Amino acid sequence: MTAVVNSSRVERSPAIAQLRRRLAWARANLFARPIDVLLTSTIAAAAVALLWAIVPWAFIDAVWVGENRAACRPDAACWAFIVNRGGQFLYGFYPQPERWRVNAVFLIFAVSVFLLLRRDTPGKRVVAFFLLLVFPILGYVLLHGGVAGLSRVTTDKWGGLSLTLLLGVAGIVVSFPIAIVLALGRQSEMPLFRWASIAYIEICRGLPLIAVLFMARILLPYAFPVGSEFDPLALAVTGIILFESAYLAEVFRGGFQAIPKGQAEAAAAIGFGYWRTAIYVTLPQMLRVVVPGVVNNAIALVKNTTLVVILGLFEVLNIVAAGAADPDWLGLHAEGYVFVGLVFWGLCFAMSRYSQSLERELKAAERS
Amino acid sequence: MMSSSSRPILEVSGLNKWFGAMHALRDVDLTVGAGERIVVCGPSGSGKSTMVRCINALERYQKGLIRLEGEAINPDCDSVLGARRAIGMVFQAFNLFPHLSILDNITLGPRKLLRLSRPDAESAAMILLSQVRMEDQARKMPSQLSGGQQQRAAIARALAMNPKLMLFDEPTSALDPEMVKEVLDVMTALAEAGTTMICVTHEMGFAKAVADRIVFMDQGKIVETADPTAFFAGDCCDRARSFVGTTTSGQA
Ligand SMILES: Nc1ncnc2c1ncn2[C@@H]1O[C@H](COP(=O)(O)OP(=O)(O)OP(=O)(O)O)[C@@H](O)[C@H]1O
Ligand SMILES: [Mg+2]
Repeated sequence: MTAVVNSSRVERSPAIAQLRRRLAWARANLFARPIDVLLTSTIAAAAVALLWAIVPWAFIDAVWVGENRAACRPDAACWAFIVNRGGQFLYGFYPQPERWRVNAVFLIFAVSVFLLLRRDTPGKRVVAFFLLLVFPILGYVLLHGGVAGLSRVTTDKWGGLSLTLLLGVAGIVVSFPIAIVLALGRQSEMPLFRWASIAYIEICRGLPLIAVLFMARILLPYAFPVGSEFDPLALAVTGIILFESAYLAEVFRGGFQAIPKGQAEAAAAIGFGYWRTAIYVTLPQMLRVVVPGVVNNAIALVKNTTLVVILGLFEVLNIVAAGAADPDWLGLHAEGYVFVGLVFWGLCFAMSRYSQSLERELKAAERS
Repeated sequence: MMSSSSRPILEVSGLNKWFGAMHALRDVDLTVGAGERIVVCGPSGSGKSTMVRCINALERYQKGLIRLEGEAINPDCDSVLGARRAIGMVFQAFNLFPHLSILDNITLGPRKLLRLSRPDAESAAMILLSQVRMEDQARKMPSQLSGGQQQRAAIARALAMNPKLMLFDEPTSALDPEMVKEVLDVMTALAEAGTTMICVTHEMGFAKAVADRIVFMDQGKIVETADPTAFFAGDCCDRARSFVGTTTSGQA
């Protein structure tokens, strides 16, 4: 008996103590002076009013199932549109039975990035080699098909969120090695290599992506014989890579500059030449420093991919807008844009959280 | 036999070096035989680091000649990497690679340049680590170690390449006083084992105990070369005498 009483007392008292601490915290931080009381209640009232306006529209009265506009209510969100079109928002016009190929490509990418960034993966160099050199080709072959029994899916069928991610992944993965070469070039002692790198970086960094994409669309055909056909997706990827590699190169240059000069000297003193010093000493240290910068760039790039609408591509924003122009779902723009906004926010938030945890882990690795 | 043992490891002759208009080394001559231990001292800015860095081809020089076992060393010639490999260097700031464990710091050179397998390189590294009394720290990261431990690891890293000549540039200047001795002890043990070394240091106790010759530099010139007894007897130029006076009184 006594034992039971004791244990419940032990359980309850920390909970009470915690409640007391919270109340004390609120009193000290939220209601200390009259002005605090005023501010706290104003903000709380605004938050309540906002929720009052959103919650009924977005949740309570919202319609989740339905075949077309007729199922919707005029005063509430019609998520049936999103649910109904979900497949298209994710995969564009990629044929239904072939969508596993899209999933496979992203699964391969996710697994290799995870392996690469995890601390104790053996043979990381093989994974990096795979990700930077094999994966882009493998991914293209899988998605495009036309070989090895895979049916051919032309790039005009690609679309939706998977196209957005594809542009982001291709932009980062392909730009990564190019940017490393450019960053090395910028500091190189060979004048021609250095000048070329600086010129490239400064030109591409000074242009907005939207201008690069416009130029790809409008100027490129002039540079080639009349009648040459350009795949809009290839143009978009090329434009993004041109742009992104210049930005990443600057991030990498900052990373190299953060390494004390003594590191390269210590490597030289062992007898390492330029390449060994880069591969074993400066590059690994640089890559640890630049994680936040690369993620920042990736976040900006994912949002920038919406600009490929200029080339007529149906990335997620464009395909949702197109969906809202469909007679069946005419005019459901609000739902579409809220959905796209949430998707982008979710992607970018996830990336930023992941980079924070990665930074912590890298710091811990240097200490243990 | 006789001729090979008397052939100098290092010959520096007529070395001149400018940083822009600043004449950092003036007609430096220095010959180091096998097993010889040279201590270099002199006031701040006298060119000690610059000389050592020229010997290891970390700096270009404009005039003169540096030869390692008869082979010219110059940052611009092809054999420079081989020369650097044959010369071990210990820096004031340790310069361990922070992303690698102590063991990996030591085995990196042997594995990538001498093409040793990982087990071979690691067992050799463990022997070196026990020489610098660090065998229980092999798996740690540099940032987990004290300055003295890091410097001893850096010495082991330089030794791992089997150098013919060891250069030390003020290896104890960045250390807290209580760690100076553990590093000097390791260096003394190396000297006693017959390692050829050039050591820039202000540790006069170490110089007295270990040096075969003390080289005193001032304003880019070697102004005095003497054996320790003569040097500390004040049997040399005024500048060196006053320098010895300040450093020893500073230590007392
Ligand atoms: N990279 C450089 N550029 C220009 N001048 C330099 C450079 N490195 C050294 N110097 C100059 O060359 C001279 C010799 O420098 P050095 O570092 O060799 O002196 P030191 O004897 O090692 O001095 P300390 O005891 O302070 O280490 C100094 O006047 C210094 O200012
Ligand atoms: Mg110095």
